[in-house]
Amino acid sequence: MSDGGAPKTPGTQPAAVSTGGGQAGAAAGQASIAAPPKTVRLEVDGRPVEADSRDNLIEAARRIGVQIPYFCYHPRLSIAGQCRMCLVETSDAPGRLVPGCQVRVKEGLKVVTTSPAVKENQRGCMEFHLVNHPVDCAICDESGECKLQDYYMEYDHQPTRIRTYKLNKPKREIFGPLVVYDAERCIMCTRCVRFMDEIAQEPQLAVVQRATYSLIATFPGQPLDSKYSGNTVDICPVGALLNRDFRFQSRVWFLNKSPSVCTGCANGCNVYVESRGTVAYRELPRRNEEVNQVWMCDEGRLTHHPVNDNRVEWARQGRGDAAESVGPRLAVERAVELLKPLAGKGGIGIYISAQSTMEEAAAALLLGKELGAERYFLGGKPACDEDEFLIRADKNPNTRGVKLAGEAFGVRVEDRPPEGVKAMFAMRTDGLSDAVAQRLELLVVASQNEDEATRAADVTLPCMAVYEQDGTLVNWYGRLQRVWPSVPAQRGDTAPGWLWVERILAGLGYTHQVKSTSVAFQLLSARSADLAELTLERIPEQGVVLPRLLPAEWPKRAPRPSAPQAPRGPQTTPPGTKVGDEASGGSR
Amino acid sequence: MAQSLIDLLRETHPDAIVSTPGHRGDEVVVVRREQLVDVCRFLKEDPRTDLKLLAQIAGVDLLTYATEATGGGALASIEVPAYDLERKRPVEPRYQVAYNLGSVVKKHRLRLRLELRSDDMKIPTVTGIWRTADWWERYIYDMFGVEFVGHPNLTRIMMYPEFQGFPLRKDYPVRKRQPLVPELDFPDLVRGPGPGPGGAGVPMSQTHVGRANVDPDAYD
Amino acid sequence: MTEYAAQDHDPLALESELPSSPMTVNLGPSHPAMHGTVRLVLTLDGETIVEAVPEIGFLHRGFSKSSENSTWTQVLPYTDRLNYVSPYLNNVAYVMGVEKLIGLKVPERAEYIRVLTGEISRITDHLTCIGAIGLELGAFTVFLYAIEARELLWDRIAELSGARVTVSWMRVGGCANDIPPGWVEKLVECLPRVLELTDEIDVLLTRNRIFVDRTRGIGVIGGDEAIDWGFTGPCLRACGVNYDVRKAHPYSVYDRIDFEVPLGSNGDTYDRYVLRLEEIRQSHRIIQQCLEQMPPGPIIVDDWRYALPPKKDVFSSIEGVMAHFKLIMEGIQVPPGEIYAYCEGANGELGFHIVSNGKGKPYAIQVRAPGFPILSGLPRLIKGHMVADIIPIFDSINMIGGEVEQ
Ligand code: SF4
Ligand code: SF4
Ligand code: FES
Repeated sequence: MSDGGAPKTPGTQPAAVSTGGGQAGAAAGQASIAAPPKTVRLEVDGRPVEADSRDNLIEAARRIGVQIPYFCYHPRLSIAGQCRMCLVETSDAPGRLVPGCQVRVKEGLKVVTTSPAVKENQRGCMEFHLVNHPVDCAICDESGECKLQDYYMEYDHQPTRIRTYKLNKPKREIFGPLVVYDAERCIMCTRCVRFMDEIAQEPQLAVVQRATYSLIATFPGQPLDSKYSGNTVDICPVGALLNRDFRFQSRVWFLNKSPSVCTGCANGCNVYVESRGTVAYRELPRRNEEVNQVWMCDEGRLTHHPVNDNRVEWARQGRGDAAESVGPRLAVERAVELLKPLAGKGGIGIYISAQSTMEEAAAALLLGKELGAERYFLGGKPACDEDEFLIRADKNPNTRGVKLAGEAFGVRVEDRPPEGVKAMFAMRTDGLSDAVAQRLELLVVASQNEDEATRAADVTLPCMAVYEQDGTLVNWYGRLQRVWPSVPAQRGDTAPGWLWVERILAGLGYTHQVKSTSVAFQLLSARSADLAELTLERIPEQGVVLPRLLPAEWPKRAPRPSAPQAPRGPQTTPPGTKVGDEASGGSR
Repeated sequence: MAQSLIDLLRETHPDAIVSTPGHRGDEVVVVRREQLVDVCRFLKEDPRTDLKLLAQIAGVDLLTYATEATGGGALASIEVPAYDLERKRPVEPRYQVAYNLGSVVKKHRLRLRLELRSDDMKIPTVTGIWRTADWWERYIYDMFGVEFVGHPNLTRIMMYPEFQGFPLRKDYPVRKRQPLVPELDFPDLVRGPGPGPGGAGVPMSQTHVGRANVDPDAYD
Repeated sequence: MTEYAAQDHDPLALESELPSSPMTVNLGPSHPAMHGTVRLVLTLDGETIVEAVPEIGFLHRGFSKSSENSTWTQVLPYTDRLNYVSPYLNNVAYVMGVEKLIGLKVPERAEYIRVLTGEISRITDHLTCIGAIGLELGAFTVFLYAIEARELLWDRIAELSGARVTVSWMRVGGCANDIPPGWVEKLVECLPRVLELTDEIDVLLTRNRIFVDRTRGIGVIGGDEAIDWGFTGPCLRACGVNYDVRKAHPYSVYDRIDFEVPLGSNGDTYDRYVLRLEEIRQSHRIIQQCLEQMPPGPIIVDDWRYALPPKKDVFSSIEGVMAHFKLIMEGIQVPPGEIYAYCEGANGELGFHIVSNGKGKPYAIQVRAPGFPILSGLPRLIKGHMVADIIPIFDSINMIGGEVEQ
């Protein structure tokens, strides 16, 4: 497939967009250029490149699929020039090597990345980086996504020549609640330090000691407790900083990486959910300039726990200790039996948690309509702290969505604890307190996790987690985003919430035939002007903004939708990069 | 030696050749589908080429050629998540069919390659030129769903007739399960005698053993 | 009674055949004489075969699909199982393909080891074939002799690789281990016995009246037609066509070795049998030359991008552990390209069509099993013969279900 048959890979064509520094929200340390960016023509390895004038040589080369290796450079951080891995030859300084991360593109510049001097530097650089590196890959969580490993195989692949003992350094420094540090593995790229300074803007890390004894440390009495500390783990190119929640849980190559949207708060950060079998192991940020850039908060990194633990697995009927698992069919029959006499008689309430997807909310509303429900309540997790960057006070991913769905169905969704109803159907039970549940004569719930409400419910139907199903969510500023069945497994009787409603409706004798997520979404798009013309399949990976919902005020640093324009980086993964690399849009 | 083959072909069939992407000493000629039979007949019968041996016909599906993620080893790819299949970008021409030819006298080799778009997967058969093409074409049909126009008996060869899908296409998941095949209700000499109409036995598909084809919408 | 008596007077009427309607008979898939699990749907006119339709696929294991989802090294065990009576040859054909894609030069000693083990495998393959012909034509002694010889060699193979048939011993860039001390001596000791047994078989069968009657002139095919059907290897050479990949496209170190390619003339079952017998002797010559010429030295390339580092380095240096880890978990990074690599398998040209997209797994891989085209020509060979002739013909093409049905 040398040249005839291979389809053109995206990276081999000069892209029309910049992948370089200087983008909106870029590092403060990078010199800002007043003049608007323009196109610069240069040559990399004899091939012409059209680059953005803000590009450095690494990004310019990446445009034509030429890989210049680097450790310390990160497109969103200032340039440090620490690692010397990126040295290349240019026509400006013949016979010398210049750092590709620091040198900006220049009209007519000729860059050579394959000369013997460059290759020898890369090899030597790797050798030096490995001089004191521990023999740890077998127990290192980074194995499989480690830049040292990748570059070693590509640029060094020689046996060691070191015959002395390796330097010993602290092996497990607990930096903070989420991060643990191994100084022996650290290559002193200072990405983590720069991240804390420039992006998190909470300088909690620093380089201490000198030369080969140097290491990264926190300040005395000040742990790394920033809400964004998890990102340092992602951008650490080696296994020096590790996520304590994920540590020793799974080897990364066993994990299935799948795009999704974080359910931790209303910001709706785009993430990859990584799972194996029935278990979700971690979340990593996925690039979306207009939502989370390439970052996410620490809380979001823990949102897989409710997917794994304390799940309602089997459909059951009966309250408290009298509950028995009866299988989905009998449980639905029981729900129908209980709800049928009440239909159209009044006194029915519908409770929709803002943790539900749009489709689940739509189905719940449909059920309410058919039963003649009188009141609709918005539930969800209680609000908590917020900040200027990514973290929103509303800890539910779909509050705007549920409200929008309510408008679409023409009902008022009350944002208050349920009262004034005798019977209730709850689509997810977050925030439904025991006191409320006990007061009800009849409670049917579709719930993901065991909680007070499921104990008090007459019928409990196990609901799939958002990470397990198809659907859509609307974030705090009105961006409709898609989620996919990221965790492939099915546990027990679990089914999407809308499917439980469909089964109940079928039992009640209504024929809506909501047999798929697309149809469930159509329930809304057919009723709402904001969603008209949209189908589930037509929602792009980056989501769509519903303009009517845009707020008037924005937190100072929160990423916001821009006018439609070309995105900053390549949309597809350039050759030789992994999904989630900083080059392909992730933060790693 | 083989280079002269390509030169010869350039002389005799100038419009049949699309490109000649040789690799590591293998000579490859990408030919136009319309001229395939002509070129093949010429290559076999002309004494200068004498490619009498059709060693193999092989197929390639390029769907994930460029997008397949790096690494992952054996385990990572086993479960292809649904979103992944959904998001696969179309690649055209998606299929390639390669004819590995050889001459036992002149001892040279040549590979013909056809490129096929997924909306038009038809190739004229070369069974009239090489007898051995019969089974190879059936194999490619079986694995990739390429239709060989004019083939005398284009049926599945490795898979059974009821098999659904084409296993070597890249969007066929490795772990895909096939539905059970109900026992045929008529005596069939090719597939073996079934219970027959009015026969004593109940078709196996209706017994507990073969209860796989249940209504996919049923939820228990 | 009277009618019967009337016929009695006409001797010709007794000799003439009764008209019969065609009958369909199933042979296989699980018939003891159908090696592997091939099914033949025969249409018979009396005892004569009018038509035969082979049906394969009962043993299909999805070789290509499995391989596309394994690393380059993990494919090796699958290749063993293609032809389980000469697994080394399959190993070699596959790794030769990968090495061709990489452009890798294998150390000389490894090349000699490959030829050596390949020829041992060729002998075991041919012995299996000959033993089976003998057995199924009633010469059980021959089978026992052949199996004794085969076992002697398989013991040597087991000493080398740890397994009799599923060896998985070749590696991209060389082979897994060096020859253990004392092994060559054992091999040299057992080879004369193998030859002696081969000679015994020769004496028992080659001029045996029954055997010759049952095989000579049976399943005849001409050279041109055989090529047209895609025949290679002993089945093609039995027709007098001088085509042996080892001579036509010398690979490995075959160009430094002196051996002859025996040829038949009639293209019948008998020739295929005699040819195999002679090839055993030639293989023996090759083995001896290999043992003489084999130089000392490394048995696998010293490049950690392709070959696993020595265990000492893996356990004690970060470089070694990283290389080991990457090779095992992500596989050898083979440069993109498409090649067809082939060698002389025991039954003919054994080829692999391999496409790489530069990642750790074969992007596409399909095998050209020598038996596949030969089996497709089986109806041509048996048509017009008696049912009883199917067995020797089928034996003599030595179809291996594993490779034909992949
Ligand atoms: S940081 Fe990388 S090279 Fe070092 S032990 Fe971890 S995986 Fe291995
Ligand atoms: S801990 Fe990681 S990111 Fe920080 S300096 Fe060390 S290697 Fe770089
Ligand atoms: S990337 Fe340029 S010095 Fe580290």
